[in-house]
Amino acid sequence: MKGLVIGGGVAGLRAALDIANAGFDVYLVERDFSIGGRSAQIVKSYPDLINIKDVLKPLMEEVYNHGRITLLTNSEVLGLEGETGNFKVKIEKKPRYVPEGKSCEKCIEVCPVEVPNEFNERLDKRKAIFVPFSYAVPDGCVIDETNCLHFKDGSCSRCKEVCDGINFDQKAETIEIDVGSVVVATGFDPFDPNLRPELAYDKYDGVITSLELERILDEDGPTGGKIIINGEEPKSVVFAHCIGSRDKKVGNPYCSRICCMYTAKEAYMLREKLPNAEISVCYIDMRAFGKGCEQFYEEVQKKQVLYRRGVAAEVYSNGGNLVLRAEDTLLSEPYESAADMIVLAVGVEPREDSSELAETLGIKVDECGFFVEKNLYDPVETEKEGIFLAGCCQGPKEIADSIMQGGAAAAKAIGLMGRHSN
Amino acid sequence: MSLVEDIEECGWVFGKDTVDSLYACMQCGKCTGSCPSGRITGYRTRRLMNKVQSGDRSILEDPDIWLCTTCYTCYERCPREVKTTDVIRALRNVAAKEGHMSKAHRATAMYVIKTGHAVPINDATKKLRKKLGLSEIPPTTHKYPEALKAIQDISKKMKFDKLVGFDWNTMNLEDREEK
Repeated sequence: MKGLVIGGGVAGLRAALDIANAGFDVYLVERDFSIGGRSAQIVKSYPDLINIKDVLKPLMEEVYNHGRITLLTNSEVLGLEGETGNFKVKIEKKPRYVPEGKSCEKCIEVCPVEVPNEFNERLDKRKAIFVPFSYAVPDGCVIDETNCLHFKDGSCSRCKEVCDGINFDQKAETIEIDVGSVVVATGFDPFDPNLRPELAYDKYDGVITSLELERILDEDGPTGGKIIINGEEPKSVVFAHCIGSRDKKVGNPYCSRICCMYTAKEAYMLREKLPNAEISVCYIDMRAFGKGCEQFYEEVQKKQVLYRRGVAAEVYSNGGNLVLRAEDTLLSEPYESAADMIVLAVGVEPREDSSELAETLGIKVDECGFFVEKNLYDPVETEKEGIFLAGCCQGPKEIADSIMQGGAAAAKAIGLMGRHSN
Repeated sequence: MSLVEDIEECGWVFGKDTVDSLYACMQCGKCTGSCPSGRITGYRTRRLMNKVQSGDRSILEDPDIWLCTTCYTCYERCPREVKTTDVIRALRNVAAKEGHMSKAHRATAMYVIKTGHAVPINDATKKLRKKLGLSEIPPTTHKYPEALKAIQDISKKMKFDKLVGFDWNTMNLEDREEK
């Protein structure tokens, strides 16, 4: 009996490896060109500042090289029928057009198409033929057919002229697989701050999301790890908590759990790079509940990061200078803070298409769009036997919790498949 | 009666949900930070919400509650969907009933009783209307004195005149001790 894991982020990787190491063959389906998920965009963990790449890269490679794991990237689940122990799953496998593995990347040089680079949160450009990110797995170039001129109007085949490996004739195929269990680990989307127009995210380049800052902090990122905003190093930075979290107005009444601490971590990393900058944080309540998190919060405060109680109210420009307005609720007085860079700590949202996937799989979503677990005592099961949940698709959580839940879901899937095998 | 009950009664027109929404306030300060009046006055929306929540009746005499321009920015932005502006309007009803209406609001009310308009017509408006191709006098109490009579009858019946302290002999406001 085989298993299926949907989603190749940390939760899905952990689940696939655990199922495979227990002696079951497992399919891992990933929608993107590479596995790794959101964590691949993150530089360090909190509170212990571990380099994510050091943990994630070996995990991705282990999955890729594992004899019992069939990796299906650039693929999506289209349908599921049957019942526990005997699911039939329809999967669409889309082509990469370039063979997997290390490539010379000459094709990238000759490609005339430039589009925003999603991996770097659109801060820089990539070509229509590109390597998803520095340690992508599978390795090598891929073609994004929605932007490639060959697929648009047949007007270009420059990459093929420099590379014999490229095959424009590859077609998407739909396969059907038989599996005994399914682990759903499809992750999350970050909140779109344009839904809070008073924060002027769309209006000013100096207003960025926390995920954009994560890319800017990365040595492999669009600025090579230099903190540059509008061409200059910022002298003052304000972080704004709870953007798209605890906010009924945008349909997200819940706390996203991770923003207090990832902001503390980003403020810490920023202080290392900008020893003289003014750094402050607007918070409503500080939620530093994880192991070691309160201590880390204190450490960040001691690095002269000023925490001011009160949510960011609005952002405007005062003749070229950004100004953030808020109330200091401890002083009961509003204030204005000039800032070269304003970082919006965007919350965790369910994937845009989570309801569709729930319908395909026959599982439930809650009023916020997250998948619903069976009950308190069966926290990784769903009401549909044989389908398990892991990671942020079930609710906002940090990397460590997602990995744990991936392991827990795998254990349940292994148990179920073991029972059916005997 | 508790302050919240008073607000519910005097603000019945807004519905019970309005005052109840106040209990969801998490004291984040989005309202105060967003308040245009608070930029130039001492008006502090969140502090006001906090005082109402805790039943502090001293706010009824606080002249600051009259500084809200009812622009509804805080209402629009509140992440917990507290109906801030309507709470303030209902609160003012209580304050007015207890004789704490601000002079400026009483003066506006006086114009309503006297002319049927919070802002009666003046020469500048007449000129503007003419320029725009409208009749100099609008089809309101200015044109129909019998309609003004109806408004004045309603004011008396509803005791609105007593509430704002309108003196029919002088056609002006009675003297009141102002804060």
